[in-house]
Amino acid sequence: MKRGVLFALGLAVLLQACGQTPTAFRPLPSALGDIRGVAMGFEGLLPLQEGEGIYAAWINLERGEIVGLGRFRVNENGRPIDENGDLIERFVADQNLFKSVSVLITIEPFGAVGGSPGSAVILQGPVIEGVAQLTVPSPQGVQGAQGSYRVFTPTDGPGTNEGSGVWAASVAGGPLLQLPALNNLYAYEHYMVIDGVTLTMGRFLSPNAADFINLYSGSEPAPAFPGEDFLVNAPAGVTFPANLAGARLIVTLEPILDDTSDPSQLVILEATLPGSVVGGETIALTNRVADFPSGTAVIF
Amino acid sequence: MVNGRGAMTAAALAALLLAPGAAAEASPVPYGMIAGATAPLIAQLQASAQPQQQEPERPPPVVDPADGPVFSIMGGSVFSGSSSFQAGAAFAYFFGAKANFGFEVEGTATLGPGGRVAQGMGSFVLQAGARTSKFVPYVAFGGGYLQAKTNLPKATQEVLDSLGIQPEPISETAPLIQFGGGVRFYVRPKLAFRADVRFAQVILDLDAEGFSDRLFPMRRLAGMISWDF
Repeated sequence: MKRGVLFALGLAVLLQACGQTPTAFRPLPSALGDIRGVAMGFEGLLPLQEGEGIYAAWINLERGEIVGLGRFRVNENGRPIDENGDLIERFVADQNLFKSVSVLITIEPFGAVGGSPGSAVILQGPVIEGVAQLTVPSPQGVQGAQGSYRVFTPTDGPGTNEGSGVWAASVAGGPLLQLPALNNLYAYEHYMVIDGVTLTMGRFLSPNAADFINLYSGSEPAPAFPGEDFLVNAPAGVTFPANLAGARLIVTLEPILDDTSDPSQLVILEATLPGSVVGGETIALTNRVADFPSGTAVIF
Repeated sequence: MVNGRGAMTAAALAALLLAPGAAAEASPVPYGMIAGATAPLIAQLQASAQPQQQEPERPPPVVDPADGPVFSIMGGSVFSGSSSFQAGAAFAYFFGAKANFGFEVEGTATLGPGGRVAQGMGSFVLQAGARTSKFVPYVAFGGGYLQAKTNLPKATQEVLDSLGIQPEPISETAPLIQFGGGVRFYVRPKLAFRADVRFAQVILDLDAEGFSDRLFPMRRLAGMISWDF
C-alpha cells in the first residue's frame, strides 16, 4: 500500500510538471474553454509607412491583466500580416483568453513593443460572446464636427500675401470650427498639404483658442484661434509665401503621447482649396469621420 | 378484605403498566389506596413504576468495505481553461478480504463553453481497507481515451466565416493518462458519498518536437454517490 501511494504521488508530480496548451487550434482546449487564439480583420486601417511605427494588438482580461498578442502590419485587404508579409490568421496568447474584456490596437511609434500598450490607441472594443467590434475611441460627438477656415494672412500685416494663410476665425473675430471636447487620448492637429508636402499648422485642444505653434507665420500678432500663415521657414519643396491654390487642408485626431510627426489616419475634417486663392475666401470643411478605420476581432 | 385489597392492587398495577409516568406524577391516589400493602409488594410496584431506561445510541458498526462490485454516479467540474460541467457513471470491482485493491471503469460527458468531450477511463484503485471510521481514502491511477468536438458559438463562427477562417480539425480523439484520489464517506453500510479528484495529461496528436509539448493538462473535481453490491 505504501509503495502504491508513493508511486502515485510520484506520478502526480510528473503529471503536473509537464503539459501546456498548444499554440495551434485544437478541439479539446477549445471545447473546455482554454482559448488562446485571436483572428482579426480591418476596414480602412491604413498600412503604416516607415517611421510611422507598427501596429500592436492587446487583450484586456477580466482581472485587469493585459496580454500582448504581438505586432503586425496590415495588407491591402485589411488583414494583419507579419514583417515578412505573411498573413497572420491567428494571433496566439500565452494565457487563456476565455475571460477577455476588450481588445486594443495601438500604434507603437518606435517599432518596439513593450510589455504594455502605448498611448497611441487607434482601435478598441469590448469582447461580447468572443467577438469584439473595434472602433476608434474618438471623442463623443466627433461625428457632428464641422466648420471652415478663412483665407487671410494676419501675421504680415494687412493687404499683403492675403492668399497664403488660413485661420479658423471669422471676420467678426469668432471661432469657425465646431469640435467636441477631447477625451484623454487625443489632441486636434491641423495640416496643410502643399504640392504634396505636408506641413503641420500645430496642435490645439479647443477651436476657441490658438494652436500651440506658428512655425511658418510672420511676426505680426496672430488671431487667438487655430491657423497658420505660410510666409517664413519654408521647408524643402515649397516656396513661401505659399500659393495655397489646390492645397489640401485637414484636421485630425492625434494621440496625445507617442505621436509621430505625420498626420494620423484619423481625419475629422477635410477640404481642398480652390484653384485660385486670393484671400478672403471661406473654405468649408467636410466631415470624414465615417472613413475612420474599424475592425473585428474574434477569440477562438 | 384480602380479595378487595388484591383487586385494588391489580387495578393499580394495570394503571401503572398502561401509563407508568402519568400515574406516578399526576395521581398519588393508587399509592394511598395500597398504603397497607406489604413491603415486598410496594417495592415490586415501585420497581414497576420506574420508566424503562433507554440504552445509549451506539454508532453503527464500522465494517471493512467488502470485496465485490461498486457502482457510482457522478457530477463535477473539469478545470482546464474555464470550468466545464461533467457527469457520468463508474463501475468498480474490489478484491481481497479487505478490498484494498480494485479496478474501476468510468464513462463521462463534459459540456464545455466551446464544445463537448466524451471520455472513457480505467483506473487501478488502492484504498484503505481496514476501516476504523466511515471514511475510506483511496488513490487511483490509469488511462483512457477521450473524444472532443468543437462547437464554436454562432457569433464566433460567423466572424470566422467572414474572415475566411475555418478552424481545423473540429474533433479529435486522444489517449490520456491520469492520477487521482479521493475519499468515500459511508452513510449506510453499502451507501457512500464520494469525493474524487483527478489530474490527467492528454496526449494530443501534434507535430511537436518533444513528447511533453504534446501534453495537455486537465483537472477534475467530482462528487459521487456509490453503492456497494
